[in-house]
Amino acid sequence: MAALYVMIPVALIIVALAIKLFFWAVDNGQYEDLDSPAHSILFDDEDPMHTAHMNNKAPKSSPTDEHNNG
Amino acid sequence: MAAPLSCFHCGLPVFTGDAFTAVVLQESRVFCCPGCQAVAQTIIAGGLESYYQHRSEPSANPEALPGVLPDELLLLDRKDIQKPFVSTSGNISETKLLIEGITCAACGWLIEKHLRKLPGVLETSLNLSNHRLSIRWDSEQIMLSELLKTIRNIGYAAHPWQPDTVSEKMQADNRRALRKLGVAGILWMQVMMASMATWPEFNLDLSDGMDRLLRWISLILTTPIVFYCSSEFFHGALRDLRTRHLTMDVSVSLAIAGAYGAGIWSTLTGQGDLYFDAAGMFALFLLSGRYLERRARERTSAATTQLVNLLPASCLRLNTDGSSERILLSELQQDDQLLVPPGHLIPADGRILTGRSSIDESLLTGEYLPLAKKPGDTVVAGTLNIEGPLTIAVLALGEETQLSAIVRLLERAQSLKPRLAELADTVAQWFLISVLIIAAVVGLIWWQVDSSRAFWIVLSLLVATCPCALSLATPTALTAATGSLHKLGLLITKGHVLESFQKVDTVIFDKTGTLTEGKLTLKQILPIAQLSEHDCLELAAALEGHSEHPIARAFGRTTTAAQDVSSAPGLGLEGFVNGKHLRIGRPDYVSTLGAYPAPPMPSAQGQWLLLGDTQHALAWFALDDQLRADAPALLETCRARGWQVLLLSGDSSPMVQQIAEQLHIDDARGGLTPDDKLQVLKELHHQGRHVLMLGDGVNDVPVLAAADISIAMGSATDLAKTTADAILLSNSLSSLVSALAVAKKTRRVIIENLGWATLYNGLVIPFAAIGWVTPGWAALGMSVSSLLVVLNALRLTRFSD
Repeated sequence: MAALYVMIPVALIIVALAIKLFFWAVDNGQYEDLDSPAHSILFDDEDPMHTAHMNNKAPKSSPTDEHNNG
Repeated sequence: MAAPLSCFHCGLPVFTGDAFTAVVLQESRVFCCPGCQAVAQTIIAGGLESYYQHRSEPSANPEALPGVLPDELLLLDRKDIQKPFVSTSGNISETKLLIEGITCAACGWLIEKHLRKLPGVLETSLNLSNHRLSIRWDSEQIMLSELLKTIRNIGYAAHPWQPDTVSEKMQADNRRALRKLGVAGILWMQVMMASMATWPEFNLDLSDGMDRLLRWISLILTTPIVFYCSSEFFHGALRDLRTRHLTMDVSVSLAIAGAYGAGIWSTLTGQGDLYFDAAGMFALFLLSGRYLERRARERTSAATTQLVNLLPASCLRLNTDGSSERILLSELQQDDQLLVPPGHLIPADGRILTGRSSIDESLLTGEYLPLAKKPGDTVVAGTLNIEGPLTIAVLALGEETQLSAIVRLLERAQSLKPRLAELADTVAQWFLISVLIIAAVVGLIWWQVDSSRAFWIVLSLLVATCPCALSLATPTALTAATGSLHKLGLLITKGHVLESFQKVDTVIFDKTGTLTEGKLTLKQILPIAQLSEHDCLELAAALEGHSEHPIARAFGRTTTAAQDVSSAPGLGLEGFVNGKHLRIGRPDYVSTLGAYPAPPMPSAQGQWLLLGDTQHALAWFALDDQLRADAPALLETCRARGWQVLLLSGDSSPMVQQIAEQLHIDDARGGLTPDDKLQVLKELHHQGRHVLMLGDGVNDVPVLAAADISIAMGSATDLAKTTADAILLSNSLSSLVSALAVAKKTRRVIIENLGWATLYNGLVIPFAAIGWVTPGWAALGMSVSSLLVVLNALRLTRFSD
């Protein structure tokens, strides 16, 4: 039981971090559009050009590209 | 005529055979107009052909999008104009654009992919729920006007978007609600773990110190739930108590505060039951219900509330030396002279100096035919110049225009809107009074029997009867119903609509654009000479293809070309088709082309146009504003419900009476100003009637704002849409009939839910009164009854099948 005296405060810290992370996500607009990312990933998958496109772009792909495709 | 093919791009019928084709996805496809063809070709050239595979809806017709002039786009490259909506750091500019014409998710994919191919574009991301495109680009490499033009080339219209106070507030409210919901969820789970350990049911052999620690932890974790997450309930309760109303908020606040207060007492004294988890669960359930309801309502309304621009963004000012210059509307001044080309909106109230034309005032007055205007006549801002170029002296601008007067009338009308009491609040009031009385009686009895237990019994009674299911009853039903109504084509933007359908006993319809299509259609062709109907139509369509007049659109498109077409405003058109000299328009105008007398006009209803050449008259064409095909069915439904039906129109033509006769409407009034319409509504309110208004034009806006329930057509002006409580996106009156059925069922589900919730609370009272209800049982009962309410509400989502 003594372990609980350590575990409970640790749990509290984790909860605080989780809330902080959640607030960051909300303020960042992560929950604002729940539709488009779900669709865009499907389009890229079915696209016959997809593999070629990725190979061409791979060396110079910018962080924005990855963000929007994934 | 065989069933026409539909356009591969926009799905509209094709009247021109295979005049416009392109190879898409290895097959030759037919298009309805050069616009669709050009868009498809651009998409193919960009290598994004698979858009057509992915899309689930036909695309928007590019010609239906608002027209933009190249020099108006160039204005947007000026630094001073970009300032309010573009943020720049170095060469990198960033802005948000509002995109029109998005029909499905594939559109978003197409726009993003296409723009990213442009040199200088760094990042694009389109939000499908509010149709806003965030874009970052290098202003050294590419201009903003270039981006807008590219978007237009693939069939969408983009407008610079500035956050206005309404949408900013909506976003902030949304984020706040989501934060509260998230915090309540995360903390409640922790509280539950800690406080459940102290429940006697689990028989944990806790040491004294551990018990104290768990109680304190629960207290610390519950505090933010009460003071942060539940603050809106307390604010609402305070507001309602001040106005002496007992509402759901009062009931909710009492339960949360009771459970929290008891928890503090129990933590400090180290004895008694712990009800913190009940407070947390309660807050979480309620917040989720309200958040879902908010989300369902705001989903697409965000996209529709944006474009309240009734006036063009820029205009052509005539300088003293006779040259014209494109300026922003805000730079325009009184007494300036303006040039308004045909097909453009008039940006300010003014007087015509030179030019003749006809003006379409249907949105402001409801008149369905354009009015002919000549020098000296006045024109009103927001109306459409149709035929010829006009020079106008500006008489009134901005706030002083007649258009603004209507908008001001709107503000007055909004205060006239009656507030209907919500069903749930009425139930909550009785519920709260009964619970308080029962709690007092039970408390008194226990005080006599065993005073040490009295406090805990009363407390468990209050917590066990906490109206969780009761307060979820309405939001869950409304959320489910809003979702299925959206599928039917009716978008609910204000919460009370579904509940108040029941109270409606009077319906007001607008005519133009609501009961009728709002556009002229060709009803009849009567050939006079040897030529067949089809040949006559071919000739007429060739001539009319050169005109912007609403009459011209009724003739459709043709591949036959006309040369040297000129228009005589108010009279007709003249030109050459296949070497034949032709005129179409008023009979006397046509007959002066040759020296033959005009044939007598047919007596049938409608607007009659004559087509003739230099020798003889060729054919009569009848045009009319057609009644919507589903209007009689809607009127039937209204009468079946015993509603009184009124037709109020701004149109002063005999058209109003004819429509009324066709639909058997007894009370039809024409030629009304927006103020007159509002007066009629006031009278109805005085008679104690509850009014449903269906309209579309700017002249309907004040009545839409003041009616108990107002519905705007999907094709309505933006101002009408933002004012109305619901929008008929599908534009089909038959979906309104189904919507009425959903509304009825929704009300039944709400009543069932309220009934069940009250029953549960009634059943639990005796057990709580004799002291059998522990926190564990209270939590179980609360979740089961809430779950039942939610499942019952979910039945409403299956309506669309």
